[in-house]
Amino acid sequence: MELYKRKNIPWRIIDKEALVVDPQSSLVYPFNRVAARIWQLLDGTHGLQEIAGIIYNEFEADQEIAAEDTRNFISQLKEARLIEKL
Amino acid sequence: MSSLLDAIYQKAEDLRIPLNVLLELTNRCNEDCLHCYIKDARDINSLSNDDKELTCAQVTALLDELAREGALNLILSGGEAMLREDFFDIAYFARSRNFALTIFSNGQLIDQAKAKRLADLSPVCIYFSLYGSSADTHDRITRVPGSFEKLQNAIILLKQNGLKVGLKTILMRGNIAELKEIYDLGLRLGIETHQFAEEITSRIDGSGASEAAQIDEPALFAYYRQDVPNPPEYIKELPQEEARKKEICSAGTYGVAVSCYGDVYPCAELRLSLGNIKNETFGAIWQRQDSFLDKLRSIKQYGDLEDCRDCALVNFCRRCHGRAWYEAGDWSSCYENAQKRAFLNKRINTEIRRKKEVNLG
Repeated sequence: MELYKRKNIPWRIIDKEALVVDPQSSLVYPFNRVAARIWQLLDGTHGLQEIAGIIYNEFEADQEIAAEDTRNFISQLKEARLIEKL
Repeated sequence: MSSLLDAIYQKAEDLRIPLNVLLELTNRCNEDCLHCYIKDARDINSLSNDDKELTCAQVTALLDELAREGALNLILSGGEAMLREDFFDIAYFARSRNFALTIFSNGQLIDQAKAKRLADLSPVCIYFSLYGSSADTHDRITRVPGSFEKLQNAIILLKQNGLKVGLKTILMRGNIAELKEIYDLGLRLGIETHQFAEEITSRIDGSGASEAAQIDEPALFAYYRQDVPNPPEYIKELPQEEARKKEICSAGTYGVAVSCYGDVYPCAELRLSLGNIKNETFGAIWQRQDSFLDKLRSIKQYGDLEDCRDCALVNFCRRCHGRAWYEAGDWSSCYENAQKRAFLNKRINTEIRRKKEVNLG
């Protein structure tokens, strides 16, 4: 199932890390390099498995750890209501 | 702040990324506030092309570039920004470029249709200035009869549309007696945040006219000795060698202001133009080697300024580069009002400590 950022969430990549603002809560979320890359990939064209695969390839991480980290981070984004499913 | 957030801000500073932008869309205003710093007495119809407000195309080109440069937080300000007929074109464009939008307004032009359009923008917050708890006081300061009622209606409409509203109140001679009532009015209106300030920014035309509304230190001291809605926080008293390490204003680092005529400033108060976007790109202005900007960026703490290094009041000082420039003609020097305020802060701090000791005792 493809995932995408909630509409109207302001964000910027700052040298591979990211700042994401939730206008509803006024919270500013700082994302590290891996989280920022996952955030970029949440464009409605990638599913969780695919994103985990890209993270595994780009960051040369252990495959299982990359999958688990991706799943956990996306779960946190859902909880914070920063992303939606298509 | 989290350490990662700190680190990203530090990176923005190092890479000269203008994360926070204040964009003045116009100097025109439909109020005539006693203390306004931006009042522009020139007849806009008589201005040359170079002096005219940025066009919508110039503003959107600037926003495009700022977004590419990494700017995230954008304040649309004025004058009254909504006086521009293309205000929503600009605001929607900013939204499309993923800025976190904040809007400063006086609320006079907001009706139900505009409230809905503002809600579509998903701004972080819309701030209004509230100067009194009654039409009598507020309208006397804005010098526009009916402005208090229109402002209240605007706030109600925005709240009905699910928007977050902030209020800003400047303590002045004309309203200090009713600050508690102003604070309570904000609560009744359901606003999210209410900021109080007591220093009035000098008018950009150099006339000094805005300072006439300023409250003097004895009156402020008497005010803060009472039980007030905006009590000052206790300032931890540090030895000189620690106090001088206190962080100083970050103007010119990850914050920038752009006037409605295209001038780029380190901040809205320090109006020393770094260049004009009508003549060159924002990036060229912001990234070039410039002795003033380089010096400004090198000042990280109070101890970096000669006048502050050994000042006994440095622990209590909240100096502003812009005010120093207005008052002393040198943004890096000490100025009379900074000294007066620092001394006042020290007296207030002593009072807070005394009260604490009494309560503990």
